[in-house]
Amino acid sequence: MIKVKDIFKSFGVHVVLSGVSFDVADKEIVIILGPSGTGKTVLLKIIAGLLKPDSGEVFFDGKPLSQMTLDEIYDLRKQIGFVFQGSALFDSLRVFENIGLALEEHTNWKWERKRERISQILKIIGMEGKEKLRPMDLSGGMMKLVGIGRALALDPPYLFYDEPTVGLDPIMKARITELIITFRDQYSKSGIVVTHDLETARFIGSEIYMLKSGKIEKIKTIAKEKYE
Amino acid sequence: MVFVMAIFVGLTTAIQTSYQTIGIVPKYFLGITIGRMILIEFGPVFTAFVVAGKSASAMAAEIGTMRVTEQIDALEMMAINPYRYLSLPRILGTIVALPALVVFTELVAIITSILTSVYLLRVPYSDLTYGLIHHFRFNDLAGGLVKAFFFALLIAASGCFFGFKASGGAKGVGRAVTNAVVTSLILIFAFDFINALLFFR
Repeated sequence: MIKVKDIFKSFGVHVVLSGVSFDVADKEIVIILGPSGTGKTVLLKIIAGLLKPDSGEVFFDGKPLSQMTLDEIYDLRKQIGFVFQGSALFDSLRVFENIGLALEEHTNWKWERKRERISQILKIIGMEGKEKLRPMDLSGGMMKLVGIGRALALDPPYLFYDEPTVGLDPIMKARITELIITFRDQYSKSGIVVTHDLETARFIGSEIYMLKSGKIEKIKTIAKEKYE
Repeated sequence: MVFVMAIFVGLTTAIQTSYQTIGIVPKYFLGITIGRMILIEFGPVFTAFVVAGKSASAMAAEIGTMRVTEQIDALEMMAINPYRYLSLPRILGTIVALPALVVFTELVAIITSILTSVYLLRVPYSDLTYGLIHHFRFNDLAGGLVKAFFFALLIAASGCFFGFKASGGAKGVGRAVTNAVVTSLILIFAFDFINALLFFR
């Protein structure tokens, strides 16, 4: 379980987050909605430990993030898959290397087992046969899919998505929405999705929060709606 | 690039040394001066300049682009230390490559100097090689290579440091590249001075 408590964050005189608190229960996905520039990505990066808040705390299973050592933070990050807004794929690596990098660094698996895991992920994201391409050869939607695949590599219990459907055509948007629902329902992944796409949000999340002017407000708790 | 630079270093060294010493000291002094200048100063320093311009800029541009496109955040989120993953291979690579390039530069520059002195400046080959060979000191070569090792550290550290500090999109990456090159050049000059002060007085 993730508990976000009273987060404040400013950049100079610009207050971005002002007392943000919410919880993410196990096997649930929380949506943070809000217009562009309201600090959704900043909030997500604070929760992931990539940015430090001015005050406030993030707890993972009751353990405060600010009191973790660097090794503990790295151990925690193996439990989190992060899908970046711009995909953030490594330019110099091919698709299978992007997906397999975490396996290469953190497992002692033999090459056959790694290849099997990468193939399994490629199948889940529907990118079979594209493993030898480089990021520059991929469309925006495909890059997003590989970004999702890379986040899945170590099979983390948490998945964080930063604007997963932004800038995509309706077909790719539907495909990614379906994937997020699959991870939630079939693989029991907890997570946080920050987006300004209301349409997608209502199918993915069990709790929807609105972030505006630095404040957060729960706007809806919903039963899982059927997505077609 | 280093090869072309080394040829010009050899040409200029021979002509300048000849201009400043011929008629004042015996001709074999030309060989001594060319050898020492290239081994101690010109070889390591000019090669370091070329590598700073080429590698420090490339490192700052690559790492800076990774910073502004969130690739470094992605490494962090994969529990991979980006400083170790990105900096260490670049620093080790530069430490191995620069001394090797310095030896190559010195070889090319000395051969060019000999050819220039003998065929253009009409200095007798025997005088020149007497000065070069009989007054060769291993410490001059080793001192130049030790300098190259530290220059490599400074160049790679500067390129990586400014790359990691990049922010603000393409403009920020451009700024990081400029800072990396200028800083490494200044550090090369500064270290060269300190080295001269400590070991060549």
